[in-house]
Amino acid sequence: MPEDRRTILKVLSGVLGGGAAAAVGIPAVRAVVSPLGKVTVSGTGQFVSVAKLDSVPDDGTPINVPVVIDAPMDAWNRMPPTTVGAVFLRKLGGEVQALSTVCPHLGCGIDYAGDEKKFACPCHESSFDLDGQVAAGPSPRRMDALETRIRDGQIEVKFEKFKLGTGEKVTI
Amino acid sequence: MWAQLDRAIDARIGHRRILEEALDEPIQGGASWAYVFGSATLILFLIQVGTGLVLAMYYSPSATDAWASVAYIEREVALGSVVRGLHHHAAGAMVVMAVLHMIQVALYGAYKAPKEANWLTGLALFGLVLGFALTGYLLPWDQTGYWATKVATSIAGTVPVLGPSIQVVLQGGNDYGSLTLTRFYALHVILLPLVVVGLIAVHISLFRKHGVTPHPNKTEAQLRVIDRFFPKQVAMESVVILVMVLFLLFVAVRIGAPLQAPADPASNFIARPEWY
Repeated sequence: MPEDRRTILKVLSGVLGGGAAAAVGIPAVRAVVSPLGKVTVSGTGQFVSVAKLDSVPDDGTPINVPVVIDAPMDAWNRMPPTTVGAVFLRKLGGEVQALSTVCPHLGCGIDYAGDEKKFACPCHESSFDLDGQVAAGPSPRRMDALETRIRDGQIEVKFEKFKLGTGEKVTI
Repeated sequence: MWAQLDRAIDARIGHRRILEEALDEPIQGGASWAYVFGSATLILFLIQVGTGLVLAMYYSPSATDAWASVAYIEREVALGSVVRGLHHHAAGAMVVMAVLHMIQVALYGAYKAPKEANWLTGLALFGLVLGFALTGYLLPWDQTGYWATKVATSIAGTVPVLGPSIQVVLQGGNDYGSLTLTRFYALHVILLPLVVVGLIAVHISLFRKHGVTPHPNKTEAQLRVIDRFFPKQVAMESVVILVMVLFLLFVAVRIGAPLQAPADPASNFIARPEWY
């Protein structure tokens, strides 16, 4: 076969084959990256009642309470009341301080070490004082404080999640 | 510059020998439009792998979630309805192309000695294509899938002697339900693809061993014509594949894949299988 005819056939195969691959590939890739910039899990960001005010010790000892949201959406799932996380509550004078249990380092669950009066993350040994300031370890920022308010003797927490591994606190 | 890069990479991984082996296959009697159906079926299988992978990222194989996750693909996922439409219509096209391929090789006499083994692997592959169709049909857990598959498993149950046991194994229990769905899902996305990929490898290597079967009426002189697989045969196949894929894309966008109401065991839905 003459060389120029061979070249035409090669280019033709490439163009047509590439067209066919694009016709399927573009919708496929677009669908895979569909969750970019989209809210797929909702239900956080609102005030949630978490505990009675008088259940928090007056001496400033923190307690860990679960955060239960009424009907969050996760993609196609509408859930019954669901535990979506936990917070530490602590009385400071008349105020209630709420700290997220999510470690700002890489997202493990922080424990309260009662005997040492500090918060400690079991994964990479970050530790925090009772105000949530970093005492030791790799955490790039202090524990994330959550907004609170008191309604009819109930403590409500605005439950939010934040970007992990960064110095700044950015809501996600 | 490209030639230089090609040489440099070849010195390191030796891809050229593999490419030459794959592309320089001699075609006795010359390239032909008649040979495109096998490649078209293979391309359709690759489309099913690609689109199926995307669908699996969003699909939930559970009797309570399956329908909603498919509805989510249709309504919320960007171009999700197109991907699902491609998967649905490529499945139908695969049956068509496989049948055309079988008719072509049968007419040319490719089942005759010494090529019987490859004819048989081809028949097995066609059976597996139908297995994909049967198992995939249930997965949306909508009315059609639910009732058509119920009829299909019940037909299996009427087989003499072993029927009832076959039905229990197929539907994963004494009755039709959650275990039927997880079972069909595992067959559709894990077992059948593994077996098909293995058989395709056998089918193609047997084909490469024996070569094409030219038209029986070709003369000696015509049989002496030898084309290489690349570029002439590949160019013919590219034309057919592009037309086929564009047609599928058109149908996927304009019509899409049907999704009936969620499966309702209390309804009296008229179960109709797919056209094939």
